[in-house]
Amino acid sequence: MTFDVVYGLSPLLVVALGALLLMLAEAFGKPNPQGLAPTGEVSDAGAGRAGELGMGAAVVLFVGAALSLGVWLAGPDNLVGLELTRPYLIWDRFTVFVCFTLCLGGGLSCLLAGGYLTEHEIDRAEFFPLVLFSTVGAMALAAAGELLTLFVALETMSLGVYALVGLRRTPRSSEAALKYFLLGSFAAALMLFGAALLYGATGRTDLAGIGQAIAAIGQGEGPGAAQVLIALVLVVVGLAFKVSAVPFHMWTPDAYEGAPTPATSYMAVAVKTAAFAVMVRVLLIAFGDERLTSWASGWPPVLATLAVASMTVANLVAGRQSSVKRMLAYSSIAHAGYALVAVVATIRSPAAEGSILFYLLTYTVSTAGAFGALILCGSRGKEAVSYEDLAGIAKRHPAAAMAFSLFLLSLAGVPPTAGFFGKLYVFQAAIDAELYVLTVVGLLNSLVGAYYYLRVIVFMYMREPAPGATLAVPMRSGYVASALVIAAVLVIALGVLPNVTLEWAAIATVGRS
Amino acid sequence: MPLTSVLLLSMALFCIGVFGVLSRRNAIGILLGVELMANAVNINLVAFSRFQGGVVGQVFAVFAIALTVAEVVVGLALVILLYRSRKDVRVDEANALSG
Amino acid sequence: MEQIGFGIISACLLGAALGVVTGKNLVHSVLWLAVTLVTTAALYVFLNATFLAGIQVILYTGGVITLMLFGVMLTRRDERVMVENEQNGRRLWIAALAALGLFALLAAATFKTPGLPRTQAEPTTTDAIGRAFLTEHLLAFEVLSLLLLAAMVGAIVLARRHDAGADARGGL
Repeated sequence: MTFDVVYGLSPLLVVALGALLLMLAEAFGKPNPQGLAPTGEVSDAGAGRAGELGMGAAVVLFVGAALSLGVWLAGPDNLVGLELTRPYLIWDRFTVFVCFTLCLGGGLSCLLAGGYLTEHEIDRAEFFPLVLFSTVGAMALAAAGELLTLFVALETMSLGVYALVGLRRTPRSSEAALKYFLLGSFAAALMLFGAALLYGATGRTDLAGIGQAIAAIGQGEGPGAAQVLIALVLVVVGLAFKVSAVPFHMWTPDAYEGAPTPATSYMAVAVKTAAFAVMVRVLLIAFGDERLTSWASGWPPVLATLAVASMTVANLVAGRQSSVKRMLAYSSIAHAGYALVAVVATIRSPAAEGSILFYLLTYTVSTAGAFGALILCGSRGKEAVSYEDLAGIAKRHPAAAMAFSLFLLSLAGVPPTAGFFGKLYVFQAAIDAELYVLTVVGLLNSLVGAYYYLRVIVFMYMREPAPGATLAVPMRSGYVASALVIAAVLVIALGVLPNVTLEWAAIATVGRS
Repeated sequence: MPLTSVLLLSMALFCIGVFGVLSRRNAIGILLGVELMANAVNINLVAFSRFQGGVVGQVFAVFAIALTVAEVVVGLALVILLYRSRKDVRVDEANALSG
Repeated sequence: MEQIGFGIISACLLGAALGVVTGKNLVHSVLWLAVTLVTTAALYVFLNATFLAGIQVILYTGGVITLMLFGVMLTRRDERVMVENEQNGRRLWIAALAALGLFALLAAATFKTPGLPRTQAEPTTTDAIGRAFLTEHLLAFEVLSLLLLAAMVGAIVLARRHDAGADARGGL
C-alpha cells in the first residue's frame, strides 16, 4: 500500500527532494574558482557553480522522467494504493504522461541554464531550485482533481516562474516580470472567484463531484445554473491566461523576451503543458456535462474562438518581429492555438486527449531545442537576438545552425519531424470531431507560420552578415550541446517512429464520466 | 442576514477590486486591488461554508490567505527589483517592451 | 440587531474598499486596506468563523499590511514619481464601466438563483478545521509548504542586492 503510493508518486517526490537538496547545495557549497566570472570577485557561495548545479538539477529531472516511465510501465491502475490520493491527486496514465513531458522539458531547460548562466555571468544558482519547485507544482497541477490542490499547485508553479523571469535584473527584464506577475495574480484572483462560485453552487470541491452536481442542476433553469456559467467563464479566462491564448496573451512576448532564455524555454514548455493538462481535466470532468459540452450552450465555441484568434493573430504578428526570441514567443502562442483546437475536439473525438498529449510532447522537445539553439548562436560578447545576428551563422557555427533548422522545421510541422506528427494527429482529431472549419483555419495557419520559421533558416544559410556589423560569437558549452543532442534525437525519433508514443498517448485519458 | 446579502457584499468588494486593478497604473496600487479581490473570494467561501455547512469552505479560505500572502511577498520583491533598476514603479510608463 | 450589525459592517467594508482604490496617496490606500481587512475579520466573527477571523488579523493584516507599507516606503524615495497614484480620465471610466458591468452580471446571477439558504448551518469548529488540514487536505498542505519555500527563495533572490559587482556592472 505504502509502496504503491511512494512508487507511484516517485517522480513528484524525487523532484521535490532534489529541489531541497539543490537549495542546500547552493547555499552551503564552496564557490568554484574555475567557473567564476572573468572579473573574479567571489560574492556568494553559489557563484560560478551554475554549471554543476544545472547538471544536478537536470539529472534530478531526468530521473523524474525515467521514474514516470517506470510508473507508466507498471501501470498506475495496478498500483492500488494510489487510490488513497484521490480525489486530491489523480494519478492516472494521463498524469504520468504529462509528468514525463514536464520533467523532460524542465531537464532540458536546466541543461541550457547550466551553460547560459555561466556564459552570461548571471550568478543566480537559485535558478535551479526555483525550476524544480515550479516543476513540482506543475506535476501536482497536472494531477489535481480537487480545487484546493489545484490552486496550491498552480501558485507553486507560478511563483517560481515569476521569480525566474526577473532573474536578469535588467530594467526590461524586471518590468516584464512585474507585468507578468500583476496580470498573473489578477487572473488567479478571477479564477479563485470562479472556484468559490463553483463551490457555492455545488457544495463540492472535487472535480468529479462538481461534475455530478452540475449534471444534477440540469437544464439551465435549476438553482445555481447561472453561477456555474459565470464560474466557467472565470476559470476559462484564468486558464487561457496561463496557456497564453489570444486575447489573454499580452504578457507573453514581454515576459518571454525579458526572461533569461532558459527560463523562457521552461515557461514555454512546462508551464504551458501543465496548464493544458489541467484545462483538459477541468473542462472534461467538472464541466463535462452534456449541456456544457454542447456547441450551442457550453464552452466549445468559446475555446474555438480562442483557438482561431491565437493561431491567426500570433502567426500574423510573429512574421513582423525583428527579434528571433520574440518571434519564438509568438510562435508559442500560435502553438497554444493548435493545442486548443484539440481541446475543442475532445467533445466529440475520444482520440483528442491523446493527440493533445502527443502534441505537447513534440512541442516540448522542439521548443526547448529551438531556444537552446538560439542560446548557442550567441554569447555574452554579442547575444544573437535579431535575424541579422544570425546571418551567416551556418558558416561560423554549422552545428548550431543545423540544430536550429531541425527544431524550426519541427515547429513548422515539416515531415519527418516530431512537429509534423503532432500537428497531424491534432488535425485528425479535429476532423474526427467534425470541426472542419477549425481544421482548415489551422492548416492555413501552419502555412503562414512556415514563412517566419523558414525565414530564420534563410538568414542562417543564405545571407551574409552586413560588412562591419558586430558578429554574434557562438558560445561553446557542453551543457547546451548535450541538451540539443537530446532534443534533436527525440525530434527525429518521434518523427520517424511516432507509433509507440502515440499508442501510449492514446490510452492516457482523463476518464471522463 | 440571508446568504444573498453576504454574497452581494462580497461581489461588490470583488468588483471594487477589479476597478482598482484596471484603473491604477502604479504596481503597488494594482496589487492592492488584487488583495481586495482575494479578500472578497474569502468572504464568499466563508459565507458558503456557514450557510451550507461543511468545513471545506473555511479550509479553502485559509489556503487562499496563504496563497495571497506568498503572492504579495514575491510581488513586492519584484516591485523593489524594478525600482532598483528603474526608480519608478509605474507599469505602463516604462515601455521599453511594448508592441 | 443582527441586521443592524451586518449593515454597519457592510458600510464600513465598502467605504474602506473604495478608499483603497481611489486614494491619491498610496500610503493612505494601504491603510484603507488595513481597515478593509480588519472589518472583514469582524464579518467572519459575525459568520461564526472565529478561527479565520484570528488568522485574518494576525497573518493577513499584520503580515500583508506591514509588507505593503515597507514596499511603499522603500520605493518612495523619489517623492515625485512614487507616492501619488494617478488615475487619468478615460482609463477611470473604462475601469468603472467594466467593474459595474461585472457586478450587474454577478448580482443578476445571484438573484436568479432561487433557494439560497437563509438560515445558518452548524458552526464549524477550529478542531474540525485542524483535522481537515491534516487528514483530507494533507497533500495540498504539503505542497503549500513547498510553495512558501519557493516564494521565500524567489523573493530573496529578487530583492537582495547580493553581488555588488554584478549590480555595479548593470548600473543599478
